[in-house]
Amino acid sequence: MTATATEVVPITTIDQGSTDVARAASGDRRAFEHVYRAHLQHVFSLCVRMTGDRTRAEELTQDVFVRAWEKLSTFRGESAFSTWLHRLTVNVVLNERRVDGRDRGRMVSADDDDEHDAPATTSAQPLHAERMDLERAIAKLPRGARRVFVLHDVEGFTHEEIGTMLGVTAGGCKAQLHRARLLLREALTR
Amino acid sequence: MPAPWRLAATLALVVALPLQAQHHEQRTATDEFNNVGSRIDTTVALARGALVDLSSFNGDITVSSWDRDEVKIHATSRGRLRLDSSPSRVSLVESPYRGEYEDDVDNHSGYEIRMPKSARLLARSVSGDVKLRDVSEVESHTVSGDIQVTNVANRANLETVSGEVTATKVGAGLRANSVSGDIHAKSITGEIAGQTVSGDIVLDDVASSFVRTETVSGEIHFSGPVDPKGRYEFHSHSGDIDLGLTSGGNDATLYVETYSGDLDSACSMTLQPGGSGSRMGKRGTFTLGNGGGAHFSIQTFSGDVHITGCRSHGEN
Amino acid sequence: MTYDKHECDLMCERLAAYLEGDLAPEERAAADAHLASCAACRAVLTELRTIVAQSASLPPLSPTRDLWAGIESRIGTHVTPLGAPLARRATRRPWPLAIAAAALIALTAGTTYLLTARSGASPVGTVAVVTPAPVQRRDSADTTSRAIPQRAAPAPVPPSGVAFVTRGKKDVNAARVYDREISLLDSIVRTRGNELDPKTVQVIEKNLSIIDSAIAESRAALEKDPGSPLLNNRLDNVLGSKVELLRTIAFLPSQS
Repeated sequence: MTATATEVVPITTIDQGSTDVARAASGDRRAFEHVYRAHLQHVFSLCVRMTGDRTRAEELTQDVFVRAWEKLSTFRGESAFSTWLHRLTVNVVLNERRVDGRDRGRMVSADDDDEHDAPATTSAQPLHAERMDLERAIAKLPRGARRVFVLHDVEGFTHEEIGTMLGVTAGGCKAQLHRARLLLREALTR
Repeated sequence: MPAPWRLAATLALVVALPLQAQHHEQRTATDEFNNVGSRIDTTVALARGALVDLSSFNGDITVSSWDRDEVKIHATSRGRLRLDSSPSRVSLVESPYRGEYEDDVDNHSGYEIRMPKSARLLARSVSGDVKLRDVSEVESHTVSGDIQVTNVANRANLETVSGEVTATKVGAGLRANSVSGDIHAKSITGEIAGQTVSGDIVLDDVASSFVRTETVSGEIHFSGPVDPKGRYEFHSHSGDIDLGLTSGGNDATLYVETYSGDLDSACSMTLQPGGSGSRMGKRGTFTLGNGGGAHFSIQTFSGDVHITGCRSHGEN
Repeated sequence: MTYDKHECDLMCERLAAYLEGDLAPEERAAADAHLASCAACRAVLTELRTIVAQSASLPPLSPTRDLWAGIESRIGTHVTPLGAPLARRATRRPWPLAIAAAALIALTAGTTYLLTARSGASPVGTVAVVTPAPVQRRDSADTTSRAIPQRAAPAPVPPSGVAFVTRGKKDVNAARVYDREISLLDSIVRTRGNELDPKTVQVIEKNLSIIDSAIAESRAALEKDPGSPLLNNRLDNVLGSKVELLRTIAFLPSQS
């Protein structure tokens, strides 16, 4: 069993990467495994933060790569593969509820998930606390706010892009973002 | 993984997938194909925490649990049934009947399932009802079928277009969505998220400290004790919102906003008309007990808001 | 040191725009003045900035178990069993139409994104490519009587630019995107009319019209009271409900 990849492979630069992608597109599963190893963390991180649920994120990550495999032939190489995959990931996360059902469970109830009884926010934490706290606080955001926050502040999408992806206005998106930041602040400083 | 799994007894046809040598995860499939008008009666083994995945078209799905690590399946269909089983997953899928489809709905269609208590369940149906009890975790979708769940140890995630959703005793969170069907939830612990367009949402005897509900024209009724650390959100466009708080002396602050709806409350409140500028509508801040504590956000466009049950002794 | 609470509340609302650099110069100057003399608001701002900065540099996460095996088993050379059903993933996603619709939506979303990202202008064109071809209609007998939201199409959302006059320029653009998203979904949904149960179609039509009148009401109210956070919030939510409902319809399993 191959060990889980711990090395971080720079995503866009490597030639090997694009060769792997090309070979994977022609049906080479070994090459696809390389592609998977190279992009795993990126995809997984996005799934975790978008859903606030690691277990679900693991399943989604698998879904993303399965989808990527199925759709690789449509990847034309015009954009970076990582960009393509990133967008695919967002789509999978946003659509999952409909396809496989579970998301919606996430979508709203993940808001506070299983952690309602383990308040991440109790004892006085300085704001500059560990990133762990930030991760945890992100996971506890309401779904809509969390998605907008992750897409904007973590992933760097613009409001217009996010608005399109989520089907909200840029104004609504900004409002959600602000709400998310304030909630995070509240969680981290309480 | 030592557990030897039992092959189903009533194999019509077994197709063992050639195992690829490099697979880390062994996977054997027991595929059964029955042709038009099919029936499956079998019992298959399932590992702990595995998934039972059921899809039907118009047959009802009835599920309960038992103490064995086995899934007992009794299923009939006019279309084709397909059962796949591996230790980690049992899936039973009804393919729709492809022949001429008369209107007499087949009343023999349906699944009756018993599954291990620890297994997770995914149950989908188009027009059939889904009825289940004593399961660990469930997700269910229907189009017009009703969904009724009782005694779910962990989370329940339920979704329908026009069916009614009834959830009683859910241990770790409920998410329920419908378009026109009503949602009734009683004795829920964990977060609750409910959303409808025109269906009503009725939350009774709720012990949840995180509640989020949204409707367009459906009404929202809530009754239950209030957790001082809780957050509660009730939003609708034109549906009325009716909160009956059994406060038990807890503290809460309620922020209520409505554009053209009425607002009445048995609680003490401070009303802030308008806020700044030309803002219309009504905004009120209500306090329960000493204020602070639980946080309620209540918004409607034109729906009325009624707040009862808070024997408030706060200031104002 | 403490400012009028009201003013701090206003500041707090305005911090969003402040952080985004969306304030007009004079508003920004006013905000700066307030911040200069109000330690509380200044602290909030600093904390928010810290969160923003930290979020942009969160380290990557790794799953706790190896996910490849599960992926590999699903992308395996599909050994097609005798008398194979249509799709190899039929076990996982038993509702064929849902697959088509999923792909479709992913595609439309992507398309919309590209359109907006590139030019912000030209409409739907590209989407025609992805008509739900894979779906075979079994009973196309009574298409006419069952066609779905024919009536939802004209009504739903006023042409872009009308309703959001009071919002910023960017928002008008976003509203267009929104409208486009809705009309894309609408077009998907319309093709589904004869695949769904007529009663379901009725329910959907009725609820779409409920949503549409809620949208219209919110917009009318917003015209009178553009700055109202409540109304903006309500409108966003109702629009969200509409997108959600359309998606729901797109993904419903077909009746036969």
